[in-house]
Amino acid sequence: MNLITILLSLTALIDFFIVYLILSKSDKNTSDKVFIFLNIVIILWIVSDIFYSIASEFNLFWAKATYSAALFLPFAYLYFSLTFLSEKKVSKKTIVFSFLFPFILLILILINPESMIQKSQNGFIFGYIYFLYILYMASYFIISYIVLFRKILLFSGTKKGQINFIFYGSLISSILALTSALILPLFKIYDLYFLSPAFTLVLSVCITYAIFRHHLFNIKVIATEIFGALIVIIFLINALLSQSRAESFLNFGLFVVIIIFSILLIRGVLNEVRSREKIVKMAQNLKKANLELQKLDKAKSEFISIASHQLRTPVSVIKGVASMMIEGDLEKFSEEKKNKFIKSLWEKSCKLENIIDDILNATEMTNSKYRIRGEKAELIDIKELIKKIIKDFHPVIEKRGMSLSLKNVSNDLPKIYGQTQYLQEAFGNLIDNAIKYTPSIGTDYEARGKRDKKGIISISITKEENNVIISVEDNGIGIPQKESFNLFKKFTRGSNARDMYTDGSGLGLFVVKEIIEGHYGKVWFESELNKGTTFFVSLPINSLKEINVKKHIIDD
Amino acid sequence: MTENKRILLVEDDPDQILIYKSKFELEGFFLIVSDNIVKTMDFALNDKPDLILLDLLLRNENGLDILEELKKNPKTKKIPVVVFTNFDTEESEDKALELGAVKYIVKAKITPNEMVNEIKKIIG
Repeated sequence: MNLITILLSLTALIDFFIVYLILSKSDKNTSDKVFIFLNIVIILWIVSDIFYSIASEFNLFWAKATYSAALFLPFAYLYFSLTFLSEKKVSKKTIVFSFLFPFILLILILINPESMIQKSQNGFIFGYIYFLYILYMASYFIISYIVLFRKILLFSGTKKGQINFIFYGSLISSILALTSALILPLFKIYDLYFLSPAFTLVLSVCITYAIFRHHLFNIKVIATEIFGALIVIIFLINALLSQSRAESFLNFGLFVVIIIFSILLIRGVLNEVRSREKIVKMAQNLKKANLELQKLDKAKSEFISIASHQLRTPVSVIKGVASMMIEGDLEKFSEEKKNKFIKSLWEKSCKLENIIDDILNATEMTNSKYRIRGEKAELIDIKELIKKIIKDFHPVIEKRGMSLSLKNVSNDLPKIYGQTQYLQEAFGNLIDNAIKYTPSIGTDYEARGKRDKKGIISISITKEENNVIISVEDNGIGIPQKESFNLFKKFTRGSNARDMYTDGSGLGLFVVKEIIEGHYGKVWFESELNKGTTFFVSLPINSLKEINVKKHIIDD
Repeated sequence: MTENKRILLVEDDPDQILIYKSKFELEGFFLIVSDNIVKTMDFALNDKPDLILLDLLLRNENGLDILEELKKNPKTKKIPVVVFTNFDTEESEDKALELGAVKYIVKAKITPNEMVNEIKKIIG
């Protein structure tokens, strides 16, 4: 066995080892699997190359076999460069298309091997297929480089470092390999031909390092791996240098045992490192969960404190009026005043009931409350529903000197499947919010001060593709940008709204979101501070069957 | 001898104002109503109230800010301030008394009659 065979065997072994490392990786993605494929092709190439080196000089059969084995290497490499660190999947079309060329070349080689390579006195003569071969290889590698280079430009940080490494590593190794395997033979230089698979080692090692980067940074693992590699190499050389058959047998047996041992050792160390990383991650998750709980707890206490205050406000009025009635004070007032008292009694009782409703809604943990049920759903005319709600709000609107109107309605509005009471509540909440946070002319105890502009709320209902869009637009105080994320959550209110309106429970928008999403719709808003806000609701135009199908998909 | 005792009520709930204005006027007090810091300071400086009833949750302001302001101004700091609110927490009470309120009353826990008695205790 000569040095070249040893070198090639070593390369094959290291590639086997690399395949093993990747196979033992816990979360393999597509590029990992493609890399395994790439290395298997390399190993096949090396094996036929070993046979070529053992065989008689210029053995045509093994030369052809080697070229055929290497045929799919550029394809594998291209596939790898497309999938490495890529978020999108590579389309089947691309894969099939790029597989086509090597496949065609393979057919050509099988049918017409003389046009690829022929034997001559002191070497080979290369036919047109050989030049196609070079063209195919070169172009695939160039495309792969372009793909990788674009990724270098695209990514930053550690990802960029990884791709950089692979790019330059593969550039070096493929130039060396291509030159020694393809270019030099053209100039009758066959000496370096054997070496070409060895150059792929540079590539494989670079890629492996890139994949395992975060593992290899751990000193323990690196040291163990180097140690394992050294021991394996020493025992391999020892086995290869055996003098007799028996000794050779023994030493190869030892070599195999050492390989297994090294693999187990490295595996053990990798496992330890991995489990330690897992523990660190678990501790971090625990910490995060703890912080979340603390936040939730604080939100709950705040909510309780606000809720109890809100509940007490109407109660104090009810008690006040009632006690004056009991003590006979009420009789001392005019009829008009007496009626005012009794009216406030009624209004505050209603308000109390509303607040209790809101609080109960807030504490409801499941969000299936508002999901429409097939049996209870009915076809609803949104336009009529909105008109009714507008009518209900008329007294409040009058009192505040505002205007609330249905501005723009598409002509052929289809009816929507839903539950009327829920949709009524949702739209009612949106309009209520618009009223609350839009100051208007005239004195107002519930809205911020007075202003010169009239508060205007306009509603429009339009049809867009498969949805009906309802928008509620006001010219009120607007919503600050940074609050938008939390607006639909429980218990929040925009900070500018908190200043303005201290009544209510902070749950209106949460309920709106639950109801609309329960109807398989969406709710969102656009706003400009001090100019106004528009809330949008989209409801799908569905058949009842579709609703039930959706329900099953979502619930299962 | 409650005649001509003036009370400044700082409150923004109209129903609450209805109750207390009616009750206090029945008892012979003279009532002024304010709902923000500017009007409150104005009344406190110019109308010589004998007592200020201060709600904490107003639409634009925090009643505690008004309390602080009243106690800072040498012309108004002698006027007794009764904090009158629905926040029933020890924290809130401590803060109000710290800032100089003479009493902290939770609205929902008192009737108008009892309220009048408390006020009579303070200003006669």
